[in-house]
Amino acid sequence: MTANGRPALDRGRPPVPGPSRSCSFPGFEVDELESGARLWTLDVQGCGLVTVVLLMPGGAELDTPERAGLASFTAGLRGAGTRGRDALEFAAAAEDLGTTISTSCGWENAAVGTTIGSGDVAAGLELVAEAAAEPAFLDEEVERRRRRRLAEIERRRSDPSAQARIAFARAIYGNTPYAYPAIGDRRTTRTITREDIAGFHARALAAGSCHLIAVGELGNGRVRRAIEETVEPQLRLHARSFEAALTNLEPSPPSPSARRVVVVDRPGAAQTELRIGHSGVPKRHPDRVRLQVANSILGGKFMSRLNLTLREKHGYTYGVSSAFDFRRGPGPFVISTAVANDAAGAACRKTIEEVERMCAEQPSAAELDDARNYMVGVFPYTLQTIQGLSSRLQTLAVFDLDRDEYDRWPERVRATSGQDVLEVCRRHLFPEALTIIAVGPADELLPRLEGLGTTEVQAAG
Amino acid sequence: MPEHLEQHELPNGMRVVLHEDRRLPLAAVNVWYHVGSKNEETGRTGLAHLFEHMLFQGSANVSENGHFEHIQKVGGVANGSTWYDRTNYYETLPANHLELGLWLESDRMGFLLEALTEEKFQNQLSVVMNERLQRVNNQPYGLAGERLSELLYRRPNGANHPYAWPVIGYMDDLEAATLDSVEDFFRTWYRPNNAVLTLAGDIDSEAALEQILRYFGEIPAGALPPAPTVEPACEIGPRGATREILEDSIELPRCYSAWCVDGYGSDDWYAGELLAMILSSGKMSRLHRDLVYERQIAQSISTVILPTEICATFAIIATCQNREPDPLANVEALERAVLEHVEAIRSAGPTAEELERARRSLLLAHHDSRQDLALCADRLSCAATYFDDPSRIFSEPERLLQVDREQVRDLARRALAAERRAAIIVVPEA
Repeated sequence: MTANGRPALDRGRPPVPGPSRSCSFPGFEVDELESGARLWTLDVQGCGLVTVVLLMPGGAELDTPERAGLASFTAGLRGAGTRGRDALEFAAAAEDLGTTISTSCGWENAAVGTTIGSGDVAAGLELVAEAAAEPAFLDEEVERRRRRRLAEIERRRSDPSAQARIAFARAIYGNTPYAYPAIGDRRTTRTITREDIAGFHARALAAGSCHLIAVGELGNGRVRRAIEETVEPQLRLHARSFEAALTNLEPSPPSPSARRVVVVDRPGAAQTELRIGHSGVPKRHPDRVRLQVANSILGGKFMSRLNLTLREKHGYTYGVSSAFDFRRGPGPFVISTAVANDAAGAACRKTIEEVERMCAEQPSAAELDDARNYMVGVFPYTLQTIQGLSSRLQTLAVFDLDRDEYDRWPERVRATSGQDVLEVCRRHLFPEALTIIAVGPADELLPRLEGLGTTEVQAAG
Repeated sequence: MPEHLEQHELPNGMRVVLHEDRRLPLAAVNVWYHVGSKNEETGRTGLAHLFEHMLFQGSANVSENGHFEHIQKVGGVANGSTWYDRTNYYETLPANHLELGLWLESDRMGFLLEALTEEKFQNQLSVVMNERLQRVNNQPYGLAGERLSELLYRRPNGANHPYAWPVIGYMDDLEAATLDSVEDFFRTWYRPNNAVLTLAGDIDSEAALEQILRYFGEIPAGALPPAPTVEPACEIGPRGATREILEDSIELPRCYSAWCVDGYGSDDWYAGELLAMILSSGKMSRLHRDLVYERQIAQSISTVILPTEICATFAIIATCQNREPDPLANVEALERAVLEHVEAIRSAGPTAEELERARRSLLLAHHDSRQDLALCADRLSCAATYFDDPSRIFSEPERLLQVDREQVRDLARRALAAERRAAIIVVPEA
């Protein structure tokens, strides 16, 4: 003890933590509007901002090989001119409020949204409604957008990480929608017509399948009233559900049955981009949370096995990570890294060894504990911002998850045992069927990747 | 000082900023050391950043990789970054583990050297070389930014301005780096009197200050080298336009134009931030509207003003929409168009409408950025380090609102002169 009665500082061991304060997902409400759209509201007092997102059908999973890119082409044109305003007038209306109207397209849905000062929310909602429900799709705007999309496709040809992503999807997803980049390719981008776009939009604009998510300073029903006056009248004109022919998202066969190497040749490249994986499982799969725990151990955090081996032990890379990209269908399981060309073979072999180890034995008790504590501990970080909260609600809406998903999630993580981890890895990881994409100089890579699997070389772009 | 914000100075010179925000049971720990790549020398570049990596390799009481291990096992996140003027280290932790952050940060501030080994050093050297390959050498346009800074900041006499070299360093210098040089760097710069520690979040300021004293109070202050002597921003940059053409493995040609303005925090800098917005932020901005939307000769345009301390690079980056039929002719036409807009704003300034849009957009962004604790803590450390006034992050919007059209025009006229421009043109490899 020191003179002031406190124990002397012992630097030799970490301090003992104080009592923890629990943190749960804040309360939110879900109502059905007259149009059939679901309204999700979460009030965050004192932030002075509101973020609003209108989720609508029209995700890239609806794309066909002949019209690959149609969903995102359509999404990008919402707000590029509406019935009442041309593209510049529309942009000016948003920028006068200090904001922009964002339009986007994921695999499952399209979205129109904005983040805006709470005093301007009615004006912002009006623009969101206009972009979502009244896009003009003028020929001039379609052509302007087409040129920009073609240029973006060209740009990606010289971007090694984009090349790796594109080659990986193509290699594992056969002829299903996940095989194509959401932007499409040169051929489809040139042939998609204004009629294709207008028709796709008209189908997607189905209020019964829309979700409107408002998070922030909602002012005692003020934002809700603004929604009733702006977005809802537009949605009521389209009060029906989205009817879509169900797309088959399962790759067939699920994955190549033997390990496969695809070298995308970039002669003279200074480094090699690697993507290693196969198709995974859908978001609603019962093993999802256990797989997240397994992935955290394998490559989901800095102290993961892959990062400790490839970066901290061998210095092959600046960083490596693994992830299950959970989608409505079986999105990919993928390990991503960039390594020096002369380390590419060794990095691939070490990676495969780590995937094999996940399927061979249970993680140690300490590893499992660390992973579970990490996952539960970092959860509140995503609740700091209204955009983070909105993103959590969007996930519930898009995948139709239970409303208490986030309340139950920590206990599901904590309940995952070492045996569970081993079992889900054996069910869903296939080290013998991994596809390896290596984007780099083929002449240097081929000898180093020899023996890893059947190998083919593709030209970049 | 606004409510819930305090600044203190410990007897050893370390400054402490405490910001209570009890929305969530989280605490952000953020340390800024006032040293960055600007404190390196020609021929020994990349040292500040390499050193940042070594700070995650353990210290007297923390094992190799122990830093991340301790943080992640309690559900925390951690990282660090290096910039021209500073190096930062930060953790966000469940609030009841705040003391863990203090233990780790104080151990590496006070007791690092005994844990450094040649093996750890060689491993991180390899990691950093891979980082450079990934961020620079294997990135489309990756070398252009580096070359642009050289053109803007290299002096004819060879004694280069401290912003002339890249933060990550040159590969040759990295290859020549030694453990000794890293140790010297630590002894010189990693002193409590060269650091700001910020805690933000679910903290009790009084108790936190007492803990900080316990963990950091005994670390001795040291003598710091004087700040590098530099010429004012108006004297930086080429005498007579300097322009180079680079070939790279790219598809869309691109042009970079850069000038030097006064550093972050100056009146000119805020005017420059508004000018950057007016030129190319949003579809209604001058360059975007004319070159991307109307004429469709550009695929994208951005204007940046770096938040650097001594002076700031103001750069316009424009990428062509087409490489056909002649990439060089296309990019030169785009470059001319960009410069015509620069001349126009130099002579007439922005319109009232343009200035108002830029202000509103920046105010919303300021508001938005206050939501995230780690970001808030980092900005507090920044304001304490550069201005000895953390509360500036709350008054910064006022500074922006005070900038008028004439100030923007005056800045453009003084700083963006054709003869002071450094430029890089990037075209596809033949």
